[in-house]
Amino acid sequence: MNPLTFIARRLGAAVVILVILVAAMFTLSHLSHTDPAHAYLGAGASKSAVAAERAKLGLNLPITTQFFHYVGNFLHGNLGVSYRTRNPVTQDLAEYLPATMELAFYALLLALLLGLMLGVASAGHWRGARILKFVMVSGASAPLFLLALLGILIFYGHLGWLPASGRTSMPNPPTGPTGFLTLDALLAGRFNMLINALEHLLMPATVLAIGPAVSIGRVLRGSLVTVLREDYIRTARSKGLRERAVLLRHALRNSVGPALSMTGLQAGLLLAGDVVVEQVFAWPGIGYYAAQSIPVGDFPAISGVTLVLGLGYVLINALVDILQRLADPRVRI
Amino acid sequence: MRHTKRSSPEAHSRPLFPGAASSGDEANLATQRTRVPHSRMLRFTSTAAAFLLAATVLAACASANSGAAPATPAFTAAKTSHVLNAALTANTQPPDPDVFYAGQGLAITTSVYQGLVQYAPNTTQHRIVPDLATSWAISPNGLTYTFQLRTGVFFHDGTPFTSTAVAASFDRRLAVNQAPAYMLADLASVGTSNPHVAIVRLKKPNSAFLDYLASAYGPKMESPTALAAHAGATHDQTWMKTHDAGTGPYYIASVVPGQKYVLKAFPKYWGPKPYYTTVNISIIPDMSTQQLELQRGQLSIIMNDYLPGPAIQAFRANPAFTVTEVPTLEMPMIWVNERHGLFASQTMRTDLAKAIDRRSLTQSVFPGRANVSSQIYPKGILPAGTATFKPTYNPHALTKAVAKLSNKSLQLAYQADDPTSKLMANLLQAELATTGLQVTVVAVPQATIYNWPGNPGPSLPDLLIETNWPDAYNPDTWARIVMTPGGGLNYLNCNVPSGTALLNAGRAASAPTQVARDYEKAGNAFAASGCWIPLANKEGTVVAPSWMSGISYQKAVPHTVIIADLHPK
Repeated sequence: MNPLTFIARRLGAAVVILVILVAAMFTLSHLSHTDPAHAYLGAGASKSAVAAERAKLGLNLPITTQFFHYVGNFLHGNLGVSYRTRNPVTQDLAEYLPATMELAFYALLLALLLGLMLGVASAGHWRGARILKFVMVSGASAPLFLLALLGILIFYGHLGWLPASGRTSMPNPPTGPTGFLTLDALLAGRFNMLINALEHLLMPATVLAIGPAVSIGRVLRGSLVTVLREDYIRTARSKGLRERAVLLRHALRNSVGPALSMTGLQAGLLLAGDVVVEQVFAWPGIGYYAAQSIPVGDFPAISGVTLVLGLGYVLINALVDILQRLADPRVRI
Repeated sequence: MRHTKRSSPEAHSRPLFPGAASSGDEANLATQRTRVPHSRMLRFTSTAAAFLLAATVLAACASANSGAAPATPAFTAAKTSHVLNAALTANTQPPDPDVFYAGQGLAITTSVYQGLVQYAPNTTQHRIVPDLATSWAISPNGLTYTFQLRTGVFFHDGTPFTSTAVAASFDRRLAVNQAPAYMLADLASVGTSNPHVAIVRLKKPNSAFLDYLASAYGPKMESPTALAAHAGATHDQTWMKTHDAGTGPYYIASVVPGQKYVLKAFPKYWGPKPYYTTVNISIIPDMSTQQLELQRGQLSIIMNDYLPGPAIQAFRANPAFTVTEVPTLEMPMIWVNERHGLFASQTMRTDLAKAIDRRSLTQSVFPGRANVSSQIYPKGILPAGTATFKPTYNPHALTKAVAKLSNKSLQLAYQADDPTSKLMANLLQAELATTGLQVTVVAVPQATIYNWPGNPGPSLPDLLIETNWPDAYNPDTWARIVMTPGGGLNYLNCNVPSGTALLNAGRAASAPTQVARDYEKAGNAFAASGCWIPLANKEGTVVAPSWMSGISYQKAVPHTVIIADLHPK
């Protein structure tokens, strides 16, 4: 299939998934028996105030009209107003999303690195591979919140090596241009801030990365073991190539496809785990935003986060398919 | 005997990936030979690593649970620092006094804004004292309130406080029309005879009006200049998410959305200057993290009242910290559904109240932090011995009644974001099971619960357990919202017409004795209905290093530790 056709198809699928998500969110918000007007104004609001707010929000209109308004607003980037923060949800997402993206980026990077180490070390029976595997599998088996709390207890409470909460403990962090604090600190030449931000990132990113790293490592190990039995690897060796060259130029490249697919899948799951990790580490991302919105039934906020995560998941998977094809042109997509 | 092959040529020359030579060749055999002792060593090392890891984790946990005395540089430095670090567990509503209607975050609005009057601090007595008004007079018909305003007061924008601000602030509250606006529903006009006198006229007498003004949620004075400059299309609501227009000891210096509020001491504040010149209030959702940060000196105080019982016990046992119980009007309570199901009959509701061991429940959930309630109103609102609620514990009547029922199942709901209510619900479930009832506990989001008042239906649960507090130190601010039809917290839509009528009479009365009598009778009627089962009068918990002093409070609502009074000993 022509790559352009493939990309167009994937984007089309993404749009369909998003439309389904929008419809699902609208249905759920109406099945939830919440009164957005009352929730927005608070328990003591007078009946007249609630009625006025209902009219303002269009809640008196027929359900089909409300749905078309909802979809129309969504297409215009209007996801409603959060009951809790009283801000437009799009504004809140713009505030919180960069922190999540930065955390997810570093977590995924760490997961790839650890997964690569685990896969290569396990397939090669390297010294220390079992310890690495033991530590990582133990970590991946533990619930995220437990791992996060243990991390805080040990590395903050007991050893005092790493901070426990937030993105930085320094005043006046840079507010742009990328929203990635590490990058913005670097661009602003504030190296202390960069180090401080990395210190804050290390624990949540590691907690988030361990599960995906084990999955990636296991898949990579499986495909490496298979590939290393192939004739062309024996040929490469017989030509006198060094093991490093055999690994990097022949074995690893041909084994990385399934691991990349797994990375895509894990990136989606990583976003799910993100909610717990951000809550425990007070990491001001959309997971933290969602975790605070769910108990109070802040549906506009919950819908916004769901749509963003859904979009992220679809895009990541499309990207992985493309990368897979680039890594191995034999793959038909 | 097995040979260690560490120095054998095969060991050095084995392929990086033994799978590549898995066809039974010599290299593979050599690899396998070399791996035997290696894997043994690894197994040993893995086991050792596992023990080490477990030991570290246990040591860390043990250290955290023991509440070990902190010795970090941050903890030591905090004693002399003029920066106070506190935390909230959630980013709640904006710190706008005409919008804010939650619990956490109240310490921000009460540090930044001031009203005309306030409740006397550090007393459990109901006493209204001056704030920005130095004195006041109420006309005999209860319709006109004349306030003498304090001089030498400045707003945070530098403009002086005068009577113009009273009208502007009241107007804004009504224009914004959010939940706290009900307090000014009876307002007719605000006039003035000179810049330091405000004359407030009501449409009809309201005996709770002065309590509304003293409430932490009551109307606060806002700078007319700032309001005019930033009104926009939202009556300043956008601007006041990150700024303020108050007169309090602190002003909002910066807000990092969802992360942090920074308050700075206002140099032109009319009252005593606070010790802490900067107050950082961060959002840290996890209470164990807050606990650790307090132990390490990153936080100066925990005043959000969400520490779990064992953590409070650990701090109590640690001489480096002081745990202070602060009186509040918080009341955990059970709402009973009279509309359908098991408790449609008043007899069953009365039997239910008797079948709950409130003392045991209170001691289990709030050890040392609450007393069993004996009145239908939160403690201290009416004199002790009036509007009483004292069912004698006796589960036999309910057990007998349940034995005759064909359907013994019922639903007990609690507010999803409140772990204490969840604990109470679980304990209650176990207790009611002994009477033969089959109780299902369900978590319900706050927004769903808010939809119940005014919408009685079969989907509503039989029981709801939740903790609430009145807006002010007045029976009307509790019973009207919780117990009358249309009240925002009358979740299960119980209707007690006699109680509502007496409550209305009490609010409209002018003579204090008549007001008290009507409120007492109203309370008796609500208590007799069995629709509400007050459980306890709960205190707030403040944990601070033992060198911290000046923990003062205003009783009416929780989360109102007066930050400006805090200082080292």
